[in-house]
Amino acid sequence: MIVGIDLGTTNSLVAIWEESGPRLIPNSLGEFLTPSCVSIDEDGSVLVGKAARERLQTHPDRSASVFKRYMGSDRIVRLAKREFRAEELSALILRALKEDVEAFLVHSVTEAVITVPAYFSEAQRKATRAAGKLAGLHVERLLNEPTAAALAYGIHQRDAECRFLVFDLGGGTFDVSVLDLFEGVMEVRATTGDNFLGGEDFVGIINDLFLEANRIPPKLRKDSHFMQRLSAASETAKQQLSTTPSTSIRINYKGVEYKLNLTEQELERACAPLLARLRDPVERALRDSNIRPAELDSIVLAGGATRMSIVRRMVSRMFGRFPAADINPDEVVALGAAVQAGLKMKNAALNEVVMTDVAPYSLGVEVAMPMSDGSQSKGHFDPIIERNSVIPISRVSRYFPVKDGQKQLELNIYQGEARMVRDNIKLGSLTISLGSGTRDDNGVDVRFTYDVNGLLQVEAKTDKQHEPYTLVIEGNPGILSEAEIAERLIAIAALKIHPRDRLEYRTLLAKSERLYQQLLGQEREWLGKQILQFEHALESQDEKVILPAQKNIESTLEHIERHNHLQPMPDPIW
Amino acid sequence: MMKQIPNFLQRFDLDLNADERAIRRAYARELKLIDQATEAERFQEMREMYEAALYWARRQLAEQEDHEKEPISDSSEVDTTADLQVDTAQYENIPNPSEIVSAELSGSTRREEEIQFDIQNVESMSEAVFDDFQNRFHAIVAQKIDCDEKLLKAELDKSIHNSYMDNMDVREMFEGRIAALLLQGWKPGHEVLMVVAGNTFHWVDDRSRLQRFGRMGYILDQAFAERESFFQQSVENRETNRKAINRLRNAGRPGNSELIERLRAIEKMVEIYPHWMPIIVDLDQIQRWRDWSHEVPSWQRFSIRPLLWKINNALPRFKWITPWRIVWAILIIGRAIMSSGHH
Repeated sequence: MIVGIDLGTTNSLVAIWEESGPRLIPNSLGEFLTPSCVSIDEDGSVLVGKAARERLQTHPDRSASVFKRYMGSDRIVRLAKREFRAEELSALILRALKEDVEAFLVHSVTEAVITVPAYFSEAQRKATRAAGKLAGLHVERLLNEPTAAALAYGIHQRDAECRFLVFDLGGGTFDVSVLDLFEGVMEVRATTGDNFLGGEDFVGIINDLFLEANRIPPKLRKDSHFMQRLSAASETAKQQLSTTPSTSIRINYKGVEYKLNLTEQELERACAPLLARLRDPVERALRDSNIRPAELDSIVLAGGATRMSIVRRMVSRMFGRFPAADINPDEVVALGAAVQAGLKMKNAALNEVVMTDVAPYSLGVEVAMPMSDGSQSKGHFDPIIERNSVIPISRVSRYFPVKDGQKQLELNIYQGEARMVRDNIKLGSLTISLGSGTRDDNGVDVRFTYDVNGLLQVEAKTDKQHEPYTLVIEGNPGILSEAEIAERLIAIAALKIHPRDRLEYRTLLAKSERLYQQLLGQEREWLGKQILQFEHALESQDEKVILPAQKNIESTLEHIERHNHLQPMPDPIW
Repeated sequence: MMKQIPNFLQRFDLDLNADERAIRRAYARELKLIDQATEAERFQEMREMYEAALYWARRQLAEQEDHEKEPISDSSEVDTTADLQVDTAQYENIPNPSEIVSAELSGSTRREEEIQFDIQNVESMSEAVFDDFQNRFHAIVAQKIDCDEKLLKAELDKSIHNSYMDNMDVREMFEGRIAALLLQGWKPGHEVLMVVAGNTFHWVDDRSRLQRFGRMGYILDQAFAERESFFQQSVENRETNRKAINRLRNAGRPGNSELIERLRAIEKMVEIYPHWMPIIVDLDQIQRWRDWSHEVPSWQRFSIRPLLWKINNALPRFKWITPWRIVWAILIIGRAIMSSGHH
């Protein structure tokens, strides 16, 4: 069984393919969305999901979120004095999802299709694959998120002939893909995006508005308890502004009340620079696929941030019509991942469907450009594989040394669209020794091979040599080597995961603790007592005792939230 | 006699009657027989055949349409379909960008009348935005000769945020208008507009962006590459060249020795930056300088001439100029003294 996983910036989901279609699998709390948060409990066990998200506010130094943004970098996150890389934190999320699906299927699962932002780079893709390995999952395929969304839509119209655009604004990344559907073929025509634009950035803007309006001093801005609480409140405000024209954020912290009233127009104005950034990738995807906006049959929304009304309005303005959101934008990517898993398993119900994807970036080498006077202009980029080429693809280009009698040729490999290599991303380099002779005698064939997972292999070969050089990207701190993965696998396996069957109670307790911190006076005392009672009931380990205590504390929390204007944690959060 | 069936059609068991639809259907059938993950080579071979077949089918269709159109063609239509041949030094034939866009659209599946209606609408909208921009641009240039980047960027952004520009076709056409303006030859401020537009429209950070504009885009693309090369020179050379460019933008005639010296730098740049120079300097002014240089007394001119053919090595030539210039300056002074001594 191959499962489909949407490993998101804010939330993650797992789904499987069944005869009747893709199906989402609930976590131990009975929910499809598992917040991509990790927290280390006081006893050293790992909490994943909603409980960890509650603890972002009460235990910011023991909890982490939004780490998908650090994938492919060497950034370290410190939780309870232990250091984690983004791959490892992601692996903990994947492990929790794996356990959820195993509990549902009652057999073990070892293979997965994991989605990645289409615009993820080589290093980010490798990091995602490593995260799968660390979680004990063989990653059968890395699937681009907008392609997954398109699969989820396309599967319902496999006999249709249509063109559509997927507008995928997630928690941390933005992708646009243009697709052509014909004769059961789902062909991605073009993919573009922005790796650093998502719902979290809109929350950041609201945070800034709040900090400005209340003239919050720098000291408080560095207080992680305060900032986590603000982010949660801003998240709630962001969601409320999609359904109501105005809202207010209130935070009572250390005896001071801070407040901000915010209207949708104000939010729209403050977010104008972010909204403007949505435009370029859309235009580029359409231009690259040579399709005009009017020729699109529909615009499909994916990613939780597309629920925001200011985003939807922007989309409507750009295309002059309303986008489609027949499938829940939070779930559409995971459903598509399950469709791909079904395709991988060669499920009979899917044998008339086939999908092709493209390379989102151009890949090439640094060259010197000859000028008409015989001199050379350095640092130019020469693409070997053009962006939006259908993958898998393999291409060869021939290059010559700059000078006669040159001993070595350094091949610098880049990814990107800029004319000059300094504006592109360097992937690695390869040094090739040359034989004697003029530059014309020393041609080097460089072959780039790009596979369906979006991973690149580079080979270089001179006429005189038999075995080609193969690129080994060394010393890139963003990518773990096989040996490092093996080493970390052991360390990760040693981490104790909070027992799945008790996670529901643990989540309730985490939420109680958060509210307890936010309350004052008598109510705080009252809640304290209720928490103690609930903990006591839990110790009995007797379902008959626990169940009523659980009902009791749930209604207490609900009552407190309603009467104290303490925003419930947005649920599901985007 | 039977015509030979090309291999890209044979690959899909198709004959010369195949249209785009038939090719797509055959491709879909073949694609389902290949596992892309394990049969990458087979996939790529088939994909290339498919793309060749599609290209062939579209050309067949375009030729057929052209054939049908021929009897009713008038002179204005000839213009749009004319080969967009543009000499690198002369830009009179730069087509209106709307023509390029409409030419591309005719290959699409939409119906002719529908397209034309849209184009007219889009064109008048982009025209309005462009005219408005041009007015503001001229106003800035009229105020001061050195229009700075920031100021111009603000003006261009104003146009970008115009509500007409919510429509993507309008935006593209406006972008094409700016590109065409730059290629109409240098006018004050164009050198700054090139940089500002290059950043705003991603002509700098996205190589393929200019490809949309066909031949016109190619010239601009080359110009940006040449501009990069200009900044790779040593600081002194760059400054010498920059001074020559600035002097050229000033309409007055330079003194004889400055004329000869600067013209040399200009000629050199025209040679190595054939696409960029016409955008940032006035070609007519270069011609004027050339004419003026012929007025320079022959002994003064010829004393400087040999330089040009002595330094024709592949090595960066600019480095040679500085020491040589000193030598020639001494010689010129020497001759001047000698000739005055004759009187």
